[in-house]
Amino acid sequence: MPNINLKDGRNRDARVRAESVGERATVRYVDQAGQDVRMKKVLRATAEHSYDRLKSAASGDDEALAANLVTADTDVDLERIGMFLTGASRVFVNRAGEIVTHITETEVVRAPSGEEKERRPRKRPEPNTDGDLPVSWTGRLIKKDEALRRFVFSSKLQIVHVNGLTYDFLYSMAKELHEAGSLMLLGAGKSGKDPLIFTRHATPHRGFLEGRTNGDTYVLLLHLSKMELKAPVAVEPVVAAHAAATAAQIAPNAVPAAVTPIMPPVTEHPAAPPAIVPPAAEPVPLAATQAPAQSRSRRPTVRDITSATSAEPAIPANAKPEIAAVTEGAKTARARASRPKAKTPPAEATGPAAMAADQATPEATAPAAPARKRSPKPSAPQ
Amino acid sequence: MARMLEFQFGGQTFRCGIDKVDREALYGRVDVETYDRAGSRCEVATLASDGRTLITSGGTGLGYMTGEGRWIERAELSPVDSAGRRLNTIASSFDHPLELELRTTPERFLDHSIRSTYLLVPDDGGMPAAFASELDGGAIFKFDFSYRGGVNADPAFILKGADGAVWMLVGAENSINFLGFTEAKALDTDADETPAGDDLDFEMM
Repeated sequence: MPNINLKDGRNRDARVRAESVGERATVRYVDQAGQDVRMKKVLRATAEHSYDRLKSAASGDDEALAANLVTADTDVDLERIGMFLTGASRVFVNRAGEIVTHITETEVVRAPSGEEKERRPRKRPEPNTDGDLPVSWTGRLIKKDEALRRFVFSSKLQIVHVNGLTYDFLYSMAKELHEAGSLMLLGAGKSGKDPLIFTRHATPHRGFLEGRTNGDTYVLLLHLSKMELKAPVAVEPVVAAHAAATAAQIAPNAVPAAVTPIMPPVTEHPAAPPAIVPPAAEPVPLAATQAPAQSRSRRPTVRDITSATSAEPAIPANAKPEIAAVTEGAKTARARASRPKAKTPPAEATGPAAMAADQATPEATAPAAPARKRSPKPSAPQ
Repeated sequence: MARMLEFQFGGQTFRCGIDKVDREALYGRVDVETYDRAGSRCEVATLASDGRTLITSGGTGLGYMTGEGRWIERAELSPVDSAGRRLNTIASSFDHPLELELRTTPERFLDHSIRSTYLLVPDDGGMPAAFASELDGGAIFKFDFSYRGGVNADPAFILKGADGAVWMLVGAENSINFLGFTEAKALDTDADETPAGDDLDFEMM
């Protein structure tokens, strides 16, 4: 798990550990004899046996294709179909089915409605949690009960000390937050306000630090959020009607309360995490968190966080296609991926994608593939 | 059309539809398009380790194999726990009423990572006034939820959001322990070579 360079409200900083707290699945699947089974990836069809290719081979005539399937089994390759796939690489192919070694990637930004809003060279956010600039307290405290109703915390990291000094450092942080009963918004980067990026190309997250103490022990939990808890614009009328109906049910004669959105829709930069109210220049005193709830609806809420992601890396002068890397084995690719200057996420640690990580440019010179989606846990089919 | 869940609260039954809300619905999305030098669109494919077998989308599949290498159908598998004891399966939460009697605290709620977010929209009958009143008072209800049925139910919560909507959040509990002075961990000194965040799915949306 990652280290994190963390700074507290007194501007003391230290590198500590951020550990995963997710529980591992304990369910396994066995066969009728009680023996463990393994999940294997197998080949179902090659590109040559795709419908388009077979139809093309039949001169685009479906009747001829059907006849070929019946008489010549053109859709079956007994030598290869069904073979186990290990150490496979991800590549880009053009419309002719040829491997492409020099690509340009373009991001197409779409609004929630699906409408295209912008085209731009692909951005590749760099990690900002374990660098020279510490992740710092912004001074913005949010009561726990308020935070959980405003943000969706999709993952968490537990901050752990690495020696006696950092124990004191983190314990004191946890105690302060525990007594405040609030979460502290953290920020990264030079401004200390940027969202957190733990791995290369990862989605930026807003980080909220929670502290708990019990005697001499402590818990420092970093709650990560990339989404607000609010209804999409299209659903808001339904929500308003529902809120009004609920209010009427409780007090039929009462005037339905207006549904005041916490924040306006953030659609300028879909990859950005929830917008956060800009913090005060100085850290907010803990006592200030006791402010009445009604004042929250009037504070400024708009913040364009388009600039949250890192700047584009420069195009290396010596960048050139390396077609040989397309077929190199996983070991070579991993060695390449583990070069000290290339922080490569696990999904890209094989084959050409690893090479692409070395040459992180908007106009990549290798068949770089987007981050591979994590495959389901092999032992837990649902 | 939203699927309907049936809840029971204080002896009263009510039904709600659930509408999934994700990042894309709120903020939109970013698609990545890839072009070759000639400006024509490229697609991702898989190249097998033999260096010649090219596999396009849909060309791979997953299968279960026994220790002896025999193919086995998923229906023939049985779930067991870590000790090898067979586990019973549970029904989908859409197939039976869900009892809302357990309330939880903000701290306990924060021990969970939220995976799915649903907007609860009651049917014409609405929610019981007592239930709505508790939600208005800040109550967080906890219950077990399983979308499709299976071995495990996930912890789910119903609460009122800051926007006034009623939400059902489905997640997973984390293992969080208080740490003492002696429980220090070593810094990852090889962080550049060890990709961080193995257990975090930052690309989930």
